[in-house]
Amino acid sequence: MAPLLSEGQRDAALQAVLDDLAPVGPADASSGSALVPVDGDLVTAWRRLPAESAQFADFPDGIDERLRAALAAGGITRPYTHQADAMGHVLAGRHVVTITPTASGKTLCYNGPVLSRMLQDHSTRALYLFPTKALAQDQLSELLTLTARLEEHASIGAHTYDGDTPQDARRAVRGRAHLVLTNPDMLHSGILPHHPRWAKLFENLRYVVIDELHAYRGVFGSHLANILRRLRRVCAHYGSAPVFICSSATIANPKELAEGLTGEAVELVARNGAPRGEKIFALVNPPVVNPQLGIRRSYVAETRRVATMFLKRRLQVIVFAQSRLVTEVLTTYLKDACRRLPGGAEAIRGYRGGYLPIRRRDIERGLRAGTVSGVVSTSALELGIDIGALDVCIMAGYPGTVAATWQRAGRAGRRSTRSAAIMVASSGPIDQFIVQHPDYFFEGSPEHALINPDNLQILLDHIKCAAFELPFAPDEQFGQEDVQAVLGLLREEGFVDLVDNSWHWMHESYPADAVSLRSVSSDNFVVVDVSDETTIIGEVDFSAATSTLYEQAIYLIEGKQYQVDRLEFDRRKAYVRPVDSDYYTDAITYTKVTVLEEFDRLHARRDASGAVADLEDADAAAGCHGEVHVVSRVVGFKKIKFYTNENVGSGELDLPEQEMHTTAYWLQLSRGFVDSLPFAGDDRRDGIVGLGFALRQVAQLLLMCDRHDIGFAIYGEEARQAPMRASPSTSTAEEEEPTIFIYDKYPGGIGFSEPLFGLHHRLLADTRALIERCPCESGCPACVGPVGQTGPRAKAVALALLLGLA
Amino acid sequence: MTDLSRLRDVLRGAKRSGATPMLAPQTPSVDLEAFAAVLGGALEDGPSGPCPVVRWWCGGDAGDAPYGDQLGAASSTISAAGLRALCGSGHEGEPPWSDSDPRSGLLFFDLETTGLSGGSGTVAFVVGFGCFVGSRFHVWQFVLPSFATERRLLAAVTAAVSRAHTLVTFNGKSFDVPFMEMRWLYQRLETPLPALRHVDLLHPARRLWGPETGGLGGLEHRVLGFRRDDDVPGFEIPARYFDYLRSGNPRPLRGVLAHNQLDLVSLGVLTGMACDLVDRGALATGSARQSLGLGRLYARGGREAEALGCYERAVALTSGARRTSKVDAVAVRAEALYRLALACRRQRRHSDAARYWQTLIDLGRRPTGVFEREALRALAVHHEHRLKDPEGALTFARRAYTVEYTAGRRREVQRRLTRLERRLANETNDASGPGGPLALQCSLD
Repeated sequence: MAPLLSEGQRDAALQAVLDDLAPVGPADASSGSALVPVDGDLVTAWRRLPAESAQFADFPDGIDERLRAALAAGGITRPYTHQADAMGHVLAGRHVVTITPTASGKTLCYNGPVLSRMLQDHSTRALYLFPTKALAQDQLSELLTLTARLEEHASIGAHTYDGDTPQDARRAVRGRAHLVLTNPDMLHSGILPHHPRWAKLFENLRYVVIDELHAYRGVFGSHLANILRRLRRVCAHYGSAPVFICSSATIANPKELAEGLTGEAVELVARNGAPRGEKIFALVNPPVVNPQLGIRRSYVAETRRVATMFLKRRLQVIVFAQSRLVTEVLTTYLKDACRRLPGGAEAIRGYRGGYLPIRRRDIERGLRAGTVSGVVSTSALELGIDIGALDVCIMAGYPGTVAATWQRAGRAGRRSTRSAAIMVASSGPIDQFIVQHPDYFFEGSPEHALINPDNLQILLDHIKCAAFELPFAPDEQFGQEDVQAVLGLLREEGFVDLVDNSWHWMHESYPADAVSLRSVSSDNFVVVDVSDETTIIGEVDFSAATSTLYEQAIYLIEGKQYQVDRLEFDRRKAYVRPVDSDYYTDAITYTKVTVLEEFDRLHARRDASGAVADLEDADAAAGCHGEVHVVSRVVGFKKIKFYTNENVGSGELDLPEQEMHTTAYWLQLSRGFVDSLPFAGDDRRDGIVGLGFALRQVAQLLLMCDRHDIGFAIYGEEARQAPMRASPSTSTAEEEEPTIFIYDKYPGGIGFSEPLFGLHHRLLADTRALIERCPCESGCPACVGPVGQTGPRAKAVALALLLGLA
Repeated sequence: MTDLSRLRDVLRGAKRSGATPMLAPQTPSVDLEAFAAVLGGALEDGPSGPCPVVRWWCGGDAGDAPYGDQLGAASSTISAAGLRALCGSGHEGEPPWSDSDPRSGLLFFDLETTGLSGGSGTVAFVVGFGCFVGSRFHVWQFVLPSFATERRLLAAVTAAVSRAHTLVTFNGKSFDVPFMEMRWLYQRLETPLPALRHVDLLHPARRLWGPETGGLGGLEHRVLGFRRDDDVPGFEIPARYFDYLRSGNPRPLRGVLAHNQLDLVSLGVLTGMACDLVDRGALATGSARQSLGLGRLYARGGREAEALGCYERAVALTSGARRTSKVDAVAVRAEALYRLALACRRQRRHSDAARYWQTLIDLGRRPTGVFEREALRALAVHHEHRLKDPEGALTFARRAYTVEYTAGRRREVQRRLTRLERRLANETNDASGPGGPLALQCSLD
């Protein structure tokens, strides 16, 4: 292991790389955040975010003297302003959400009032919720340091309670812990349904801490909102009404999100008093290598180049990739590149969900100790797992949201020294939009975190769980919808019944088991290496299993290649053995969407001149939204060569279908209108696929949602970036109306389709602008998709379609 | 799967009308007398009010079918020593069973519930107890007429167990006892169960009669030679109670009560048979499996010498077991040898232990992983350190290397291999110069 750099050496090394990277060095950028014009189009934006000094305040009066002394022993004599504000609200009994960027000392905001109260009233109990088990473990070690310093005054027990807690330790935690650190999944299935065993906790529950609040958006957030409804219901049964203390990364609507999740009025603390070192933030666009096809140098290769520059100077680097596959590919590349550097390939690690916990803890320790010099991660490291502060953060591709980009950038940067964050754009339309319009990112608002607690599927699931926990009174409320009507329906289905004048659970099942809060369900597939003695090397969640663990798939884990020999779908097991392969595999998925019920419809006229047209035939297209049935199936895979990305083979697969009911927005084109376009049949088809590709990207930008939140399908066939031309035709025949679906990727819908329907005209106009202004000749990944995948006339046809709809 | 679009319609309708519809009629309050009468029981006064109780007995001089003489025999074979062995270690204080009347204070205990998960939304609607009185077996069952009367039932159960000191259950440690504790907690009442000694027959029964016998039903068939007719299957039990709650007609519960009665009687008979085996010792059985199981019960109860005798008998009874024998016999023999060797090692009878380890790996069919690893490891140690036979030790260590799979264990074997090879190489050096073993050493590094 190479000796660590001193602070001065680190800064000099960082400066040297930055000088190389920017044709016009940052030294020339005199003002704090002025955009430095640079040669060519490689670096499109270069901002210097100035250092900020600390703003301190006094401890609020209610904070116990003994706690102040213990904090002082740990070096904290005065809190930052935001910490003091948050503590003040909590001490006054007000719910609070605090905006806490990375390394701003968020834990004091909740530990302060909670421990202070426990010193004064030893019966006080608190529940801490973290989105993952790992974060709870992380926080526990910090809490234990503090409670150890308070030991002489009061014995305060802090314990994690999650799937890893041994059975024989659970009873002790239930009885003795003052502070229980857990996650929503455990609260949902392990604590609330067994609330009588937790009577002591619920009777004395004064505080509920929700850390990483911004993680609870979409489906996960909608579930949590209902779990907290259940929690408050159980608390009321035991006569308690806890104060909610939330902390969140920067998002547009922290107060609204906190209030939606907790169902209470919440105070917002947004003013941050923590100090920050200077940070250079650059946006990089890989150069165009083929102007005809609009093809840029691979962003993965560009990320590799930039990351290697920093690694060679012995700076500690974190690289964020957008998918598990790219994470593994980049890990392989960087290990290759660093083989001759101090620490060698071993100092580069991959990190993502699906690695076993012991491997992840090892990587985290290595990062803190400096033995790991580079880590390539999925969003798994975006949340506040303690990995220390690194020098440089490189994002391979735009993380999809402004909030996530700042969050990831925050992984680099110590309080006093300089750091760098670099986003390397992929050729996707959103990435290209961001690098070409840096102000959208630097000056724009971060995203709204949306939840829909009254999604009927989710609501229904949690009403079942709530009825299991405590009978419903005949006039009781639960959320916004009429719970009595829901209970009436559940009665018909035999889940509950009105006996002894209240709604009792009347079913032998355990309803919490039937609900999975996130795609990472308990129904994980395990990956078993059978080459030597059988060992489990990883886990894959159910939804990803068919697209990553099919037979012959190359499964990558930290760059090491395994080939899947056998997938036992029913037993949730994939058997793999190590191979040395020069290609990786990518699944081809087909999706078929069927309309179940149309809620609303908007017509788009063909006649752009405004003249009154023949009404029978006038509707060129209609934008609709409603309920749909989505069936998707992995039908094959491609073999893609490392480095060159050549397609070197393919295979067919026969895997079980996955299906769901959800909501969707769709654009239905009239057959007459499409046939009237002066293009050949194949070209028309390509054009519709290309239009769908562009619509989906614009929809994601307009909705400010994550790319995983929505799916897209055409003609009933999924037009994943995968082969579109080569797709086998399904039953959806030529005579049907060609339709482009953009659907919520969650059963029952999560609230994107209706707003998208409301944006119908803007969606069409922005898509047209995107395609019109794209400099490529006949399609590229930034508009209608790469030429190799769509047809040669796709761009022209897509434009003609949009012109007809204007 | 709930039909979401229908639910949406229902909710829209509810919003339009603005009123909460009363969706179900009030269930009429239960006539407790009638309820108890239909079930063949009566209302009995409890500490918190009257509670329906069903009483029943079988056995006696007539030798009731289907258990016949087995019931009478069981009644007389239950013994304090047997209960101690079945209960295992882990309890503090004096055992409560009296040698003169081991059956007094003994309660057989079994629940019928609305679900198996044991969360707050499941209740026990039949709490059944059994006990031996002379040669008869008595059963009394507390039955829950409505959710609203659960506190009464719990109070009555508390009173019932207050005169006992031991519960006997089948799988009660995992299910019945925690399930009932949850009910007391739910009603915010003191639970009386932790004060009681608990004999859970599940594990002893598996040891004595084999894991493949399954649940109580399987044991009845295999051990007692009795198959139930018209029994209510377990999966149907929650639904029968829900049917009663919805319809108000308790008649379907009669079958559930009969099922519970049979469970309790079987539990009583099996407890007697298990005590009998324990008391008669190794020679009581001609079955190698049972000898091995008995040995393990003795070992758990700290009766080491008797355990050793049982293992020896299990080995003797399977002496004919070879490659061609039934899998079961070889597996029993392997485990008996393994436990025998471990017991000898604890008593520092090293050469006896080595003999058993050797027999174990010579079985012909590869034994279960842990037995083979332990045997090879022990033999390598024995040959290296006690017999001073490096060549023999090397043979075992090489075999051990191929079966160890944790990294730590492999390193341990590798260190042994390196050490042995170096010693042997030195010896050969003295005689004939450097030879082959080095090559092996390199390949292992």
